[in-house]
Amino acid sequence: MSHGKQFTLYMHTTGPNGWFVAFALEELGLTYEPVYLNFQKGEQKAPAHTQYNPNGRIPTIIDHHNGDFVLWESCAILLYLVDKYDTEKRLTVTDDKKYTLFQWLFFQASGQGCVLFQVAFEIPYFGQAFWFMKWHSEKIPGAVERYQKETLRVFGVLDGVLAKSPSGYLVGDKVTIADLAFVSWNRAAVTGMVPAMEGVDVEKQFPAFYAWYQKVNARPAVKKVLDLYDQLQ
Amino acid sequence: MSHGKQFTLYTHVGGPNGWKVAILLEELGLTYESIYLDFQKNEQKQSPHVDYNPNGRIPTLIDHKNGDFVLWESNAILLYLVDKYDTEKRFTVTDENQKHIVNQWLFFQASGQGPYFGQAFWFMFYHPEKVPSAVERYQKEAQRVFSVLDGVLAKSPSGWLVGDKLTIADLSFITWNRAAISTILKEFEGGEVEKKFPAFYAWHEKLNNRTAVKKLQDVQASLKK
Repeated sequence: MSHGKQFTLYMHTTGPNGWFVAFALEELGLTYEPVYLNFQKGEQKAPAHTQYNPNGRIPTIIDHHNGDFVLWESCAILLYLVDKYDTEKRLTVTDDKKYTLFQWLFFQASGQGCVLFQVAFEIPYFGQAFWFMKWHSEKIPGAVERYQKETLRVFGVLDGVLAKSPSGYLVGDKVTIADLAFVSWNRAAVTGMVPAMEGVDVEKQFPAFYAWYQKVNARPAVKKVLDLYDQLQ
Repeated sequence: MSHGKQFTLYTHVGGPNGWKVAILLEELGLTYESIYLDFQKNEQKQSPHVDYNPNGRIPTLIDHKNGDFVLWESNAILLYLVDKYDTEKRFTVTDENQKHIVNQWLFFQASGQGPYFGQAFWFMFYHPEKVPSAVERYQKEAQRVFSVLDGVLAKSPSGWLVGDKLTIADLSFITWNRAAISTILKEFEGGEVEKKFPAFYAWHEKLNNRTAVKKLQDVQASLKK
């Protein structure tokens, strides 16, 4: 890789998981070269990428300042970045709260991202479009509703926890990678999925969640990356 | 809690993720009291459980030797247990880079294996309508996950996922893999997991035959009677 940046980040213009790695890289002032894989052409499953990530999904990161160390799974990447490069521990915590941070990252990976992914990709034969409403394929009875309900349930869980948090963040008294990990899928759900759901007003129904969502999205590093994301759509 | 054990583990008789944590507790020789929540009565979403875990899912662990520290998300629990109690580092690695590879596999298990296999079960047994295309989607994905693991394990000199030894990365996959082999993929394209994914199958059998794993399978079987 001759781009001179510290990292190469295989990602996708729309796929949320790559973007929250980008948030962390921006927050930490680390340089990276994004490589946007074309899913229509199946680039994520082609050897040039799968030599690094046999699972063929994004993101995948290569650290050129660490012997071209390769890592995949977005939350694992977040943990790697804070471990090695967050010297002031701005985005993480150090005592037993560390495990609570892991807890939230696993919740995001398995309980949030995964669920929303199911809504977006519930219809089997199309892989690319994020907004399920635009697809012209078989509507699976009950399936879309199942995942919409689950999305709202997850909002409710987060809202309940955040309402009780004095700092308004998930872990400790400050923003951490646990909060950053939820941004892109939250945004996709709030702006893309919720409008199609009748009678749902996120701000009214989940006020603590909504306040947190706005606060984290307004961070300069996050906002910068979100603007870039919007430009690429 | 007056049971005198170090941990309380909120879990479920069938749910694979609770058994995943039990396996590591056994392997580390730690004492724990299992509370099997009744999902028919929705106990997982009610007090007292939901007071500990607002997400209302199992497992949830309480460590009475650490000020009643509460943790949920099974793989976060695995990391907690090895960090605090695996003093000989039998189930983890010490090399910095490799530690992150362990995390990578734990997140792959948590997001790419468990939930998809879980959805297969949902559409096979619990969804109100029969939707063959949904079942097929998740069966295909289960096969794909097996093939990813098979490819990696075939290339691994030790036959383990990380470094040259068994770690929690390997342990985390057992319970859902068992469910997939015995149920999800049983009839799908002729089954034949051992034939199609030999390196994967050898690894799975090796794990499944561990004393602690077999002991807990017997416990689970007796509870299901």
